[in-house]
Amino acid sequence: MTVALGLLLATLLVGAFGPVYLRATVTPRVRPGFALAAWVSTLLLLVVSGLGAAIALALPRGTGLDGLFGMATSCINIVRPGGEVIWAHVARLGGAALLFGLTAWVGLVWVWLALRHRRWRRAHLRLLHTVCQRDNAIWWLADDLPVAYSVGGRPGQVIATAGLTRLPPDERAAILAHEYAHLRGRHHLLVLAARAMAVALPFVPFCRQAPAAISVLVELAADAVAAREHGAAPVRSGLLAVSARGAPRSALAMSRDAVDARLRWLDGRQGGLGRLPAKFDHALATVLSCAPIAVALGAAISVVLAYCLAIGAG
Amino acid sequence: MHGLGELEGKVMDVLWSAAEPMRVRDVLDALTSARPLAYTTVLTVLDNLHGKGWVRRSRAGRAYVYTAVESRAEAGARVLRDVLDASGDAERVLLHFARSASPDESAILRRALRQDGSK
Repeated sequence: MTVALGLLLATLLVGAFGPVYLRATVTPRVRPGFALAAWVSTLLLLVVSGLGAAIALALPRGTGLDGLFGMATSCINIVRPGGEVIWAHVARLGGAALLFGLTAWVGLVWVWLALRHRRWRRAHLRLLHTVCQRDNAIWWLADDLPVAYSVGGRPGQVIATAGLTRLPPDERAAILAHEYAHLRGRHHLLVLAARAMAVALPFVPFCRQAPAAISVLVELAADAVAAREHGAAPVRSGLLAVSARGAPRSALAMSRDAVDARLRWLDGRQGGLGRLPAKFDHALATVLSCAPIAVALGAAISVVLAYCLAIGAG
Repeated sequence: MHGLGELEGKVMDVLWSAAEPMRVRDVLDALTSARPLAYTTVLTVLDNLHGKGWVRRSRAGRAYVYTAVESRAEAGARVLRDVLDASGDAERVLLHFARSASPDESAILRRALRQDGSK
């Protein structure tokens, strides 16, 4: 029961306050790959802890889950004579049903969005297959506007325009490296997952804010990869050249804010964590993202102990 | 304009490679396909393409001749425009260097820069 309460508390904490502490990772001082990993693992954590809480609530008492940390015989797990009341069962099973229902709903929305995307992707790639000049890896559109984009899925595809080939080679390489970073990092999938959570659970603050944050971070993370491979200068000049040329088509031109921000991130001096190799980003971010679960479990244990002491049945 | 099926794409390929308007028979002969196609299949495909606005047809004697409404490059430009117009729809494509940030995304970036600047 303590585990169930702890996981429930963790789910509520992350759902409500996740954006508050994760917002601190969106700064030029923190490597965007690390920030992205933190947001994504928190998203995953929310689902896992919610589902975990549902399972723990649904299990009958005395299954020994609390024995993991020596709480198997705490007062809330012992059926006292006359202490077993019907409403406690109802609340427990009702809570489990609600959480299972919400998880299933997220799953349904995810499947719906994924299928819709797959349908669109198939039609779009077929169209491109006909109108593009295809060289092995990249499909080229005959258009003067320098644009590159990527379509996720398996296999992913990078599409670029003839306008892009007129940029200096290092800028072109940096832009294409940015697109490949999206494909390698499965960024399309991450954006889609965040979107599914937001569509399914718009009343949860974290779910509501995750899509925008993750959309921004995948761009910044891809910029960072391109800068690591080709240097920050070509990424920067490519960004400037393209955003300037795109300007007349106002609806399409990148907003001033976005350009400024991406340039700031490219010059960002990352202290502390930034000195660790980038390959540790994922592991470290995942471990740190689990902190709320530890906090919530600790809180649940304290509350249960206090309650047991109070009723004198510890 | 609507999307293309697989065979429709192949027929458009043939029409784009051709210098002159083509009859159904010409298209059929030019199509390289694993299994032989029936005349009526190609006729149906061309009819569909006409319905979707991809090909134009005109009478030449007793039969119709078909031409692509726009060149391959023009069709490509149109596909690109569609992608750019829908670029707020980030779950479809990640569009580099030309995408407008949504209000939520701009807010996140502005806040981050403000905090970074004030330190």
